[in-house]
Amino acid sequence: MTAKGNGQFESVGKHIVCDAEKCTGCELCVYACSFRYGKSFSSMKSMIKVVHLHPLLHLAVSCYHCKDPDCLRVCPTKALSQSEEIGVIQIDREKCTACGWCVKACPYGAMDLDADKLIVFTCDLCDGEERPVCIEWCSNEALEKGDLKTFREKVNAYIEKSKLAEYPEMKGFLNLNK
Amino acid sequence: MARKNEKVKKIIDVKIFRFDPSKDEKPYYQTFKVPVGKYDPASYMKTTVLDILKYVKANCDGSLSFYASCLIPFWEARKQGRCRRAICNLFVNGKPVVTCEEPVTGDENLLIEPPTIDPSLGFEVIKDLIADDVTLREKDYSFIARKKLFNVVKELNKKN
Amino acid sequence: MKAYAGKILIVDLSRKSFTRIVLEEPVAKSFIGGTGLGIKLLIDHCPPGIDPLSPENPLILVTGPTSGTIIPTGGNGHCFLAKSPLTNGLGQALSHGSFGSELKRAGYDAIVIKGRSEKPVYLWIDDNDRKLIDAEHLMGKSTYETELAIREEIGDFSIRVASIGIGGEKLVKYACIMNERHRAAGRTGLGTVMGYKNLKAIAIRGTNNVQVGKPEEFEKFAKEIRDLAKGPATEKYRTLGTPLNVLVLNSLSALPTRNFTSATFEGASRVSGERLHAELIRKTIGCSSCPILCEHIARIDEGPFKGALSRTEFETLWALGPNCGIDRLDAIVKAIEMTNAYGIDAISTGLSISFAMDCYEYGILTKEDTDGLELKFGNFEAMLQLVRKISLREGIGNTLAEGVRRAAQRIGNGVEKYANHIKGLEMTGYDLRGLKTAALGFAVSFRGADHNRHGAYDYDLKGKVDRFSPKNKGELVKNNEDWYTIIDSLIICKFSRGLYKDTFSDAAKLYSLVTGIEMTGEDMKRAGERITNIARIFNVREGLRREDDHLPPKIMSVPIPDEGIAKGSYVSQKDLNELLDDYYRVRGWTTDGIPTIAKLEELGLTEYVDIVKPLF
Repeated sequence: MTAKGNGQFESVGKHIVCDAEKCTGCELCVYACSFRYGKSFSSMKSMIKVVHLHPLLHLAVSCYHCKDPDCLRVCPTKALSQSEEIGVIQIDREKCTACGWCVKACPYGAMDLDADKLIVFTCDLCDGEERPVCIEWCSNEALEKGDLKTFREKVNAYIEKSKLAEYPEMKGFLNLNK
Repeated sequence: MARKNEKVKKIIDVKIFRFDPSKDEKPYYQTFKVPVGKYDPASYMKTTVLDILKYVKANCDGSLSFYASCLIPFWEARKQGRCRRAICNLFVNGKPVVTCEEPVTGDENLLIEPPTIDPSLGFEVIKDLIADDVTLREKDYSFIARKKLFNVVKELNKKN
Repeated sequence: MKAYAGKILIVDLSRKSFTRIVLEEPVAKSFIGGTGLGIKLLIDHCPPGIDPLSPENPLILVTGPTSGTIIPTGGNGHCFLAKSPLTNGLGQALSHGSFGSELKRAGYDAIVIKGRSEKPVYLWIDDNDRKLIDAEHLMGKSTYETELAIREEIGDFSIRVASIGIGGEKLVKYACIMNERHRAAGRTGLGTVMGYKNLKAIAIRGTNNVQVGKPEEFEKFAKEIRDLAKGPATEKYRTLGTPLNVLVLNSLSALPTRNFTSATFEGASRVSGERLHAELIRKTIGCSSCPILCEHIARIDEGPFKGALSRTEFETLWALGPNCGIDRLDAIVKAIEMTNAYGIDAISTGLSISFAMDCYEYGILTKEDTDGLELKFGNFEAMLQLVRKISLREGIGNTLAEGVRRAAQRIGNGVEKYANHIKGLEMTGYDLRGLKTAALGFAVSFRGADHNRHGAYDYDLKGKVDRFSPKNKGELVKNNEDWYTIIDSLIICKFSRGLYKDTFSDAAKLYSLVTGIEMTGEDMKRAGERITNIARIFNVREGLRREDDHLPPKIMSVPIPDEGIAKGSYVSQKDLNELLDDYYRVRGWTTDGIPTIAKLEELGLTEYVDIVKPLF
């Protein structure tokens, strides 16, 4: 998009990270988050989402608090802002027109659009609660608060260790030209 | 638009992105000369990007295509329930703007630079300034986000 | 009524039409959902006495009220039902994963698929939209390839797909319906029905929210169950999983070996859960909303079967392993992967192969019949070849693809005594000769040979009763059956059964919280009995009687030869009579195993009284 930032290689503050080695793809975090969000269970209206890439590789994905994030850059009404200390993306209800550009801009798919409320949403770390509900419900202690740099290293290390690059069906999901 | 009894209006150059997939091989920019009025935020007196586009379509080139869901400021339209989603937003000089809001001239009627108007980046162009995000339903954005999850490892693998 | 979607979709493949009917609260409350609701829909939509491979046989897909919610293991089950082409009785198979919750989110509690499509199609359900899409280009693909291809076509990798493989297309009588690569709705040949209907796959995308009756209380209850689920009650599933049964059964002389010839296996330690875990299991994952995490994924990293990857459980490991006298663990994992890809039931396949091996060892089948394969017990290469031949119906595979009952009839020469099945459904990994409570459960189970409808082996293995005595087993089996039926109707996972200490009362509490419909433990117990009875009624309608509640010939005539505590044990006809009489009495059925009119009226099944009236 417009002058893509380098934001996604560094993060601000701590955000939810998922240990690829432990994640079982059970999606309890998704149900817990959607319940907190709207008192019902959904796979869509959740701020954390699980991707199943392979029986041996599942990952829970949420906002990674990019420094100089693409979502902010691309918002036409300046409805998005970022908390300087915590790094959480804040959404101004009045200004958001649900145009969806930030959803398109986020490289991870962490920003989503609530089609009923007509406002975007992304992980807000349970509004400052001590233990976010996803971490509370995780079936295998795979979620914790961390930073982007260590997270990237761990995920890559696990993929190396499990020799997942050898599977043809993984071709589309990995950068094989290392 | 400026009122009829306003004194001489400035004429500025406006570069607009054009592309008709059925006729053109490649996209190109077309320049138009457009009159703009005084800029007075206090009295809502300004020429907006949307005004420019309407002028061009009416007076210069009727084939210019752009999307406008209403003719009044978006917060009014939202209050009235007419502006459902600002898919009429465009990029001006590389920045995302709300077309019915964004003034074309700057303070003291001094122009910063001639505006270049582009369709929403990252979507496929249907015609001129209309990109295929206009065909998307709200629900589709969740599908777009969901599909991106499958690239998460690639993104995390990217080198700086 | 919350948690239920409240709608049932009826698909007519012949006319390419769709209708929606409402799921009424009284029906939902009487039959709960899952298996219970499925049997009710089956008995109502399936005309009596039809050929299972005919357009009138409805294929029913159903999910439970807990689907799509956070209750541990509740978010994930679905059930397929139809008249079984393998047994000619009630065909039913459960599977877990995420398919059931997607169905619920799309807005349906059940789908009834009738008729037969002229050309191969797949059913695509996208919330309110539904289409039948041409599937000619998908024919011949494995189950997993089909799923990937449909995801590409639709353009969304997050949709859920259940499909058949070549086994289903070729109408192998025990073809299964796979979802998510290695989860199977395996038994009784439902993939065959789907293949006959020319329905290659069912793909679903559901984006709606699932509401529950009492959200806060429900979340609290779910949290309690979740915390329990991380505790000792489910420890064994996390550590070794079901393969731990190999050594446990072996030590009790209850591990059927070489087609039920003996009850211990000298190679047991080479195919044990312990060895599997140490050498082949790469990761343990779980189904949607499950904190138990019992799914052990094995991958072969070296040798001739390098690259084979599959979830490995006791039954599939046993059927293709000790049952065929095979102790090559990597070959067994490869065979399981093949049955997943071809879409055939691994247990029935294993039993068909061991049956052929038995016939070969006794000289009734020769190399000429077997296309040159040396079908001796322990020959894993021949076993792998046969898996392929069965799926493609090649050579001897064509006979074995009919299931052991029909294969024995075709081969003749008295080989019926080597066919280990009950009602036509092949046996599972418990040597009933020394497990008489289990023997009763197996004999009367509505699907055929099945340990999962009652779990009565639990009493025998844990030493809670005298496993060599046929006395007073009726009550135990009845209570277990009714409880397991409720588990299969709410659709929670059997592995979570230990978390509900007060069985029916806890289940009733769960039901009330999730649906908002009040139910007591008594109501739940009654519902369990009602569902077991309606299952019985279906089978009675299709002509099954007391003589079909039998045991395989070997169980009833060949005493256990292995040295040890079970030596000489077998189930005699006298034993079986005693077991059945006790069970029928406790159930309130006649001595021929038919529910009485009084019993049906007591359970609110008056509309089915006409099925049994002419028999009295």
